[in-house]
Amino acid sequence: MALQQYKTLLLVVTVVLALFVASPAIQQLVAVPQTTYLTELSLFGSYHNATYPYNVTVGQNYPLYLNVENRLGSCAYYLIEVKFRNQTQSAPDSFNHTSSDLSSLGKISFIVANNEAMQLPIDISFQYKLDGNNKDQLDMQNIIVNGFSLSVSPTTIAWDPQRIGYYGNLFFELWIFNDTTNAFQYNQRYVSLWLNMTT
Amino acid sequence: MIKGLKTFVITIVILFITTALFASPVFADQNSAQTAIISAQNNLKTCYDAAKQAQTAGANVDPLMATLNDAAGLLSEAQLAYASNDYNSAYNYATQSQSKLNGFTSQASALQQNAINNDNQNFITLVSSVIGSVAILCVGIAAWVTLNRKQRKT
Repeated sequence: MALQQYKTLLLVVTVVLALFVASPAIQQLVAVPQTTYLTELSLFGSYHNATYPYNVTVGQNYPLYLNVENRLGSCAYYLIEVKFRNQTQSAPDSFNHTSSDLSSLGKISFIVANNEAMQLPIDISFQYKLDGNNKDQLDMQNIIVNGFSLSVSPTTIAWDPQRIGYYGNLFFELWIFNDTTNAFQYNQRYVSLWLNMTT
Repeated sequence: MIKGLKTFVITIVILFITTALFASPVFADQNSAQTAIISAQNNLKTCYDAAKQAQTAGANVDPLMATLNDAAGLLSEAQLAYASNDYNSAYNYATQSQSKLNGFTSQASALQQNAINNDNQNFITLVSSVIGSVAILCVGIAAWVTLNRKQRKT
């Protein structure tokens, strides 16, 4: 009977000791691999929340914050292309996953470590005037991004009788550096704001 | 007296010319600004690749990220300045961006090498743990069999 008890104890001790010694190997097997690889892009207003500017005036500064979160499994090199369009110009397409044909006004480069987020402060102001010959048209002149005056001329915005105003679309496209092609490619993500350019 | 004045005037002129030659601000044209930006972009790509390789090898690249982002921020300023036709600022920012990354690749290589060494050590630990646990199991089973035989005899 005593021998039987020793046998059981021996088995338990053997298994526990074997598991303990094998724990570094077991740890490798148990670690759950990351299955979802993506980048999150979001835009915040001046209060770091969803309070966005809507009615804008000439020369007024509008602070915005772009938030980019990297969940790709490794660090990533991103580029934000700042673009502005009127109601008829090319826009990025969420269904076809294509970027706008418009050339960017400015580019912002940054690198985000894996599982980290980066918040980019962007100060925006607008310079525009009513067309001297056509009061139904607004002539865009410059967009000032982080203190740099970027020309948007000859973009014009027609009066929108339905929404009653001159509406311009400011948007930020996310591009990512592709190691294989050694070039940036559109990451199929953008955030945009429709703005009523008040006169 | 006149000779002394002449020497003074000559000294002033020489000083003025020297200052004008060596202390004048850099006035960059569009081409040199563009070249500096392209160079800074390529430099950043190279350093990013080095950091990514180090990370793939298992290195903690957090200290490198801050430097990379400083350089990327300066490159962004350069690109915005270029877009606003301020070629002088664009050139200066692009040059600063490149300077930020001096010695970066060697730092990344050192981290990568450390990570490879750690990886090798981890592998040895892993193999040792597997061999050790198998050995313990074998000894345990052998002891159990021996005890079983003794029990049968009694």
